[in-house]
Amino acid sequence: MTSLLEKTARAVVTSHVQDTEAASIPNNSTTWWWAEENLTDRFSSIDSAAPAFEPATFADAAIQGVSYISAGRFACFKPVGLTSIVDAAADNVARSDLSHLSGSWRSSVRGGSRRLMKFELLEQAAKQLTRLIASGGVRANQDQLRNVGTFVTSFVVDGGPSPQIAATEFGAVEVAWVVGKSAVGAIFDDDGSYSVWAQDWNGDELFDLDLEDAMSTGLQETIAAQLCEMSTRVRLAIPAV
Amino acid sequence: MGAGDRVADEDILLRRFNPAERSHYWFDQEGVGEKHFKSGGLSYKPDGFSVYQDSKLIVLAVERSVVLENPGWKIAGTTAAHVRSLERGGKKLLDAIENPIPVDDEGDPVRNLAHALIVLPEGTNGSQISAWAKKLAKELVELSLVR
Repeated sequence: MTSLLEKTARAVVTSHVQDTEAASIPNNSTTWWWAEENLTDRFSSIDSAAPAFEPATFADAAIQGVSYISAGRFACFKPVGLTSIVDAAADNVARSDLSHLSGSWRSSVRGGSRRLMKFELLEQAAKQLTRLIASGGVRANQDQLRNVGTFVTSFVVDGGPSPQIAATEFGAVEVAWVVGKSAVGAIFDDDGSYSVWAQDWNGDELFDLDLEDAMSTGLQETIAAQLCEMSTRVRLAIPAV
Repeated sequence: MGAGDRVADEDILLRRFNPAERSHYWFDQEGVGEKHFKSGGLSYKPDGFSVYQDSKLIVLAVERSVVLENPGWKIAGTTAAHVRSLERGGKKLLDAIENPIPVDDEGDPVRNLAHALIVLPEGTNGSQISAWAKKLAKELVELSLVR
């Protein structure tokens, strides 16, 4: 018998699938897409939504990418077998067993480790950068700092990992997001050039590119998708500077 | 084998780092114990990234811990072959050469004899060195102090 919750899960996931197809976003195993969604509006409570989107609850490796993050505000999907995603979400809801939720999920839902909003993450980044400049580790080159600011602002999202900022031995500024073996980063030189890199959750390199002009839309989407996936696994806040 | 000679492929190159120093590693927000060594933990002064050859320490009959600055520090490393295999933009530019530092005085650390450099081609600019430092740092893994 199909429960009301199961029907709701099917409806939510199916609507995402339809939205994605309408937007003609490539559907393959390496392309992630993310959609902002206030899931709590669609479910009776945050806890009832959780089983449908907690990655740890999915036994099928092919759909491990289905995730739910940041107190109901975002959902990430890896479009590997969309029908399976719908079925798996519904199955999980049907089981309605909250005991298998991970510690990180419980703490984020119940307030043990609040995820930071975008403006808080940006403030954190600004403090790191200010400290680097004050320490003399970074020359206060306006173009360089503007590039760093644009990059960080472009990819920081509510509930996502924190950008970590460091100086290199040669006065360049390095930015990185690190969650487990996954990482995304960039190095900004004071001549305006920069390089961007990323590695997946196995630690394998996705790309490492030297750039002088603006990033392509495709690269921006790849970085955003990688950070979205990483967001689902954030457990710890970076220590305050 | 002496200064400037290429380090054998199988040799392990060691780099010390301070686990309490944020400029030496990225903080892992998943918190599963991964240690992401950061380029800030490397030093390119003046001709290459400073490291120590594990094989030389063995010959000198000293422990890996002699390369540490302080007891609380740790060691990361990889093989010379792996360093040489690293690629950016389709190029493999890193090499590892011996760079023993003379031990003249009694107070000079014996580890100096095992010193080596990971080098880039002459004329590589600071921007490229930063990029290669990042690349190299990502490949260094924490190693046990005890062989």
